[in-house]
Amino acid sequence: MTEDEIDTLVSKVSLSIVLSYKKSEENKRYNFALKGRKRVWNISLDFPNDFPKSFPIVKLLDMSEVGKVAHVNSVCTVCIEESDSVLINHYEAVKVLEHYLEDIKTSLDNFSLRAYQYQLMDEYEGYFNASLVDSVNSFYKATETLEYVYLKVTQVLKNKDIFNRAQRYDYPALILDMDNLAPKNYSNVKNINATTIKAIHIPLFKQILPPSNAEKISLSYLYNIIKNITSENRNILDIFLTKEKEKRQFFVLLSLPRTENERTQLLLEFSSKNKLKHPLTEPSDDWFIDLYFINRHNQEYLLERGGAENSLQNKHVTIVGCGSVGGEIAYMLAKAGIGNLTLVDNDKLHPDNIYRHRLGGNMINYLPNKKTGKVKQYSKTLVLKNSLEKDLPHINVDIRSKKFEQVLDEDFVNESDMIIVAIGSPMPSFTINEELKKLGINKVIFCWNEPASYGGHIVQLNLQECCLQCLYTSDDTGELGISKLALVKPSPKISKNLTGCGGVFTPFSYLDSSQTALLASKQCVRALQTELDSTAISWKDEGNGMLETTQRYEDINTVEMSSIQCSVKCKVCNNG
Amino acid sequence: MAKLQKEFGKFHEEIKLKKFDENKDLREKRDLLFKDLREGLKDKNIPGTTKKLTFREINQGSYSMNTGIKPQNEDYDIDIGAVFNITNDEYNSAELKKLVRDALNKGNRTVVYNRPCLTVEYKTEDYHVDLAVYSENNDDIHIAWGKEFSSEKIWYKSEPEELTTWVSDVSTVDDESAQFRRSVRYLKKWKEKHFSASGNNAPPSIGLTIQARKAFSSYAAYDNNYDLTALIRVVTYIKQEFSSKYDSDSEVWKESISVALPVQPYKNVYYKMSLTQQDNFYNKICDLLELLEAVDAEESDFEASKLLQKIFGTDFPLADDIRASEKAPYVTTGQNA
Repeated sequence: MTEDEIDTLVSKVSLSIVLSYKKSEENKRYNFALKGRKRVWNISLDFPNDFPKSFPIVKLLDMSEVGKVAHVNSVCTVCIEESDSVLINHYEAVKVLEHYLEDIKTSLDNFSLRAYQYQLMDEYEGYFNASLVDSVNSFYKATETLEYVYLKVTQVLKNKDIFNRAQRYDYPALILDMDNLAPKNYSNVKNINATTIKAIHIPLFKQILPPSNAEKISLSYLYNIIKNITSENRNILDIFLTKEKEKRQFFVLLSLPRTENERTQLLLEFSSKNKLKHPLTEPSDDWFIDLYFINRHNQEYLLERGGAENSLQNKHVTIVGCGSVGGEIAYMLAKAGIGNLTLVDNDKLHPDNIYRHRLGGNMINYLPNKKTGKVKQYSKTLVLKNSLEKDLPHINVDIRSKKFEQVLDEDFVNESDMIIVAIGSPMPSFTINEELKKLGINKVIFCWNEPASYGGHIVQLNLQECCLQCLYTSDDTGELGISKLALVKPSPKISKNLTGCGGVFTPFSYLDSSQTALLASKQCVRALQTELDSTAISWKDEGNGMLETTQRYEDINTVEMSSIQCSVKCKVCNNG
Repeated sequence: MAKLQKEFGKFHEEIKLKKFDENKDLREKRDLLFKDLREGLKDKNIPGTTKKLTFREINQGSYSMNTGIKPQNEDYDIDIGAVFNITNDEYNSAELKKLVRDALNKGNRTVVYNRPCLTVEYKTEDYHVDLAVYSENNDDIHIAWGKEFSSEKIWYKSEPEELTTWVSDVSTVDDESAQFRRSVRYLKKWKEKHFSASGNNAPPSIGLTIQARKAFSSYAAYDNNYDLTALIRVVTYIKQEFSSKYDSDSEVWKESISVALPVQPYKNVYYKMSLTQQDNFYNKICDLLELLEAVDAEESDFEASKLLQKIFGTDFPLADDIRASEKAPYVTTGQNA
């Protein structure tokens, strides 16, 4: 909307709560006086160019209320409609504005009540966030313990107008727990070329309000709030402070409780022109205080923030077969929050795979070995492990670059909460099925694609009730035949060959594998959270139109879920 | 100004727990327990006499006062007492309490020996019974007080029936008595939402009941139109009963409260709460009062009912949203990518 259009719009507002309004000198800004329950609220609205497709920014002009009213931050912005997912009838601009003004008035009325004050204290971090330009990554999980943390810092020049010399100061890059450093393979953290210094973490035992009147954090405010530490922590702090020498710069990590979840955290930097005693030992007006917002990397926070399940962190899933389906499952389960994976596959990642495997060319080696001149190929399990650990900071990936049959006697097989077999081929799958059943394993998922994009299957079994071979055993004759789930009839036309006998493969794409992997991963998570009966899930698609389909293909839905019964004539379940 | 009397009425119907005489199920459960107790004690004589040991049954707690609310987790609590035909000299209090415990501790029941009563828990049922053991003591009732292994095991002067009578005698005006009972139920619902049930964090219901009773009888809390108005008066009264006390541990002033039981033994009903817990009770009372006053000042019934949900939870019905009759010009969809 243009400025003139907004002028007209505002003049059309007819609400009893609007006591007065005035156009500000700022472009597209209006000040309103709104009649609240017990007081008048003075606010300003900054109209965006695309109003009413998005809302104006609301600022509270009553400075004395900032720091007292919930959902109003340190730069006086009022948070009215937080969600990005709002749907606005933008053809009704006047109504949108009137409704919005009413919401502002009601929100401020409510947010100023005592019963809402805990929300202001809960969002202490968010209160300052709007005014913070700097942030620091952190692997530290703040608790109620007063202790040192490590700070990785680089040296930078400060604003010369204030500090008046070419003195270098520390700039924080990373906060680390002294006992639990950053995961070494994650991203490029091991390459941080920085000095390590120590900072004190000071945990308050209760929530506090921000400074009043939208003021910045001052030393006197800090001295006041630091009274809220336990006497035990006070003693430790006093010991720590006596060890501090005079410096130009100190860092303190401040944390305070919230009603639930993570503690509020802020990193405070004290810097001065000259060397001084620690600001908490001896106050001085020469300290400049800067705040840093914390980018949390601790496990509980990242999992919850990313929609993953914390409860899955201690689960262990073994994936047998790390091809296009298994590789994708490994990624999906890792991102769903499974904390422990064992990957089993004796194959190497080839350039042939890059269009249908989760991993692509960046995991294929093209550099010849300096001594032998050979170009080494890496196992699928190793490159998947490297890729997952680089991607996610809190995951344990164990690998076996062997056939599953060779590692069946290892402890991890029994210790797995779920074994997913994604090797596709029926015969090796039968062997694994039989061996796992003998071992007394019960939670197993087999999954595979149909050829030529006709569909895929996920078979989640309680092996002690029934088995994979039950699905291939005729209930009448007991003969082994095609799977009862099959969507495509067997045919020599299925396999394709681009380069001769060594290059035979079954055609299906990354999208098919992803679909099978998605359904398998979801079923795995469900089965880890509750006891499930043996279930088959099939999905179907149009296919390439070249192959003959089964009656089941015609009969089922796009995604079909069915329970699996033990076949009375299955030779595995009935001891031959 | 929002009063929401209709919504308060619906809310009250939703949370109200019926008295024994209106609740056949709980009445039968109570009677079964008494029957089993009689059966278990039928061969017992009072020591040194040929007199049979017998008892009379009394109802106590919110059932007898008609101020109960439905329990949140379906764990119904039946408060009853057995008044035995003995004098304090004839039985050691702990001995009699053990005798009753042993007579009931069988089958699907587990009996826990607590300080003021025996708590009868059932393995498969969704209720428990708090059974207090009394001596008639020639019309001078005493309660068997003290935990099984504590040194403090005595006959303690008690007036359970007088307490029920005192609470019921709030007014001779039926409407006023009914509004008093509704107010107590509102306070209990507020307590359920805002205090954790663990330890002595929450003020005991009998404390809230006594304070509400006093607010009606001595502070003119009754309002012949609106429950909201009466509730604001009750909460104002409760707030005024607090006084400041210096906490030398944390070196700050805190708010403290002491309310005497109106019958024997006249002790402070909030005696179990620590000073910090009393201070927390005070802060929550202040929050409640401010919210109730905001409801009273709110022009939109719908917004007022949302505030009442903040006090009581979603059992309080939302009032009609007048703005909703015209289509809202924006809504939150939750869509994302």
